[in-house]
Amino acid sequence: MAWGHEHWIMVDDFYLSQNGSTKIRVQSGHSFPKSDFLMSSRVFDGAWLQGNEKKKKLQMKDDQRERSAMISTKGDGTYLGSFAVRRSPETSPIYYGKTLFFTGAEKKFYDNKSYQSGQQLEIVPQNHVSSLKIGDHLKLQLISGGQAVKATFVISDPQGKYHKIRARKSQDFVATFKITGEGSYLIKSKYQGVGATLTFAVKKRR
Amino acid sequence: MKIAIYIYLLILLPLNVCAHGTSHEQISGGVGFQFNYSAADPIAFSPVKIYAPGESKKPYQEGFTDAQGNFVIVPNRAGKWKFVVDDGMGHRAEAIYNHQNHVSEKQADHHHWSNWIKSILGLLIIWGLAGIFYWWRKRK
Repeated sequence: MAWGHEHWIMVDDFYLSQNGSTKIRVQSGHSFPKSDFLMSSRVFDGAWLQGNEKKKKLQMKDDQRERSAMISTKGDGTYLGSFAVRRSPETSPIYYGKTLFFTGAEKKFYDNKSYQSGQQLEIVPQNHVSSLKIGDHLKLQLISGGQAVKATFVISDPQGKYHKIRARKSQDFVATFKITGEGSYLIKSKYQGVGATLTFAVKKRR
Repeated sequence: MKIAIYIYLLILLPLNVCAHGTSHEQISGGVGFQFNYSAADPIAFSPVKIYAPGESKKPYQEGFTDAQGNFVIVPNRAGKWKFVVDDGMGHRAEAIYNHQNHVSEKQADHHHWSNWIKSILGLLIIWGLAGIFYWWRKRK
């Protein structure tokens, strides 16, 4: 299956120690997690970080193939990085991306009840990402304007294999995916011409 | 002395008037392309570069596609015109338009004189009229 040009946001370390720091990257290409090119600044609408602190816009540095920034966390819990792509003079973005990562003690990860960033279109896990193990089932919804919609998700797993799953109305718009390995995942979907991606990692437990 | 001032004003006035003049007219004969992604979504609001025949480095024209992915140009000579669209998100499209049987602006329209020609013509008329006036006064 062909993997087209996609855009995603991810961190170097998805499981940080308390108050830990990591690099967050906005990348583009067709060979996740390797970035192939730098998205034009004309269409890059910004990147944000939210978690235990107030949502803030990230100041990113342009490199040859990606944008990146160093970030620091405070306390335990779930963090969410996001970005948007917009073509001026259109007022609404045409692409959204987000990443979920965790900091501090594992038991505190469950404190965060929502994985939603508030973007117009976003892929939202319906169970706890941080506790996933190989063989577990990850449940996903595509949320558009606050409502779950019918969707097809394409998932790139840590082994570089692609999987296609569907969220149907008969299943309450929930798609289920069986975790295949430890490491980072990229999920993409599309709705009414707008794209969305999500990255996360299944923690290494060995 | 008064006459000299009048003549001076008559000469300068047309130049001042035409310095900021604009006009417009409807044109036809534009050619273009609609650019789409493979899923038929338009490559909307994306930068386009146009390369004239025989030119590969310096664009002849630059602009943006519209909401439907369209871009139109008015070629000024025959040959292969290259359209290059880059959406900044990893997609690049190229299209070639082979412009044949070009009718140049000169051939197509004999009646449109430039403002410079009009100004010079005006000055010559004024000069001629002034000459006739002085010749007539001298005779009296």
